[in-house]
Amino acid sequence: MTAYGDVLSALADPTRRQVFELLRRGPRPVGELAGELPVSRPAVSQHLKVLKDAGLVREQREGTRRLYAPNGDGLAALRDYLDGYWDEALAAFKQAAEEPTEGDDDE
Amino acid sequence: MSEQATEQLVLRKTLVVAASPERAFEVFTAGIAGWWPMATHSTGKELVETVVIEPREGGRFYERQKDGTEQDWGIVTAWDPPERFASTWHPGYDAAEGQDLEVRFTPEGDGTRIELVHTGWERRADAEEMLRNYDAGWDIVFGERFAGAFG
Repeated sequence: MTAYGDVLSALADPTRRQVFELLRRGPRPVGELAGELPVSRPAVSQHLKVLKDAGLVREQREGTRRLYAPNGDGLAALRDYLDGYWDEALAAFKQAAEEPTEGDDDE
Repeated sequence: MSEQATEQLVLRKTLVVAASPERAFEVFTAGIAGWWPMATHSTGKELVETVVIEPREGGRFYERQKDGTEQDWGIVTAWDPPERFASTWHPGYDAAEGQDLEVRFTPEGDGTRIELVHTGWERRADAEEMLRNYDAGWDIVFGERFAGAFG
């Protein structure tokens, strides 16, 4: 699966979106996240793993604590995808616009 | 949505084509079915028969599928041939959650410079609905709706 697909899948789950949004306020340990969400700590860990694999979250160590922080790579991948979407469409447009027009000599 | 995320998702594209603004505008709008990659860039994919932009402010921008089903992509919000047209952009999801698309056609040498801007994501973040319902946040556009339309 492509990177943007991973991002879209990761964010398709409401709880994961919530985890992601919580992290945008700053790095947090998993226990703290679980405290703010209506799901168990193992469930939060699982969501963090999916977000990490999609490039939306990264892990960092602070002493003995393991913190999770937002990672810009995931959104960048999505951005790249949108860029590609329009590049593809506009390349097709350019080709069509530059085709000679039939029976229309004055253009 | 944070300003940073909004900024990350403003899409700007520029290209120059060897055609007059009149022709470029005509091909982009009236002739869109002749070049738009419908099989990949649509909600119905291979079922899509044509794409139509109605040539007036308030006109519909939509795809028509082989069985006659019509799926709106947006509503034309500006129609100034051959200089510019704009529309809302919500292929496959609710108009209230749409973004904005603007395409400008400017003479450049013997050709035309086309500038496309795809923006307006912040409209979702401002929506009253989002304040009431966390799940209506901006990313649902990608996760559930945008993905369906573009995937």
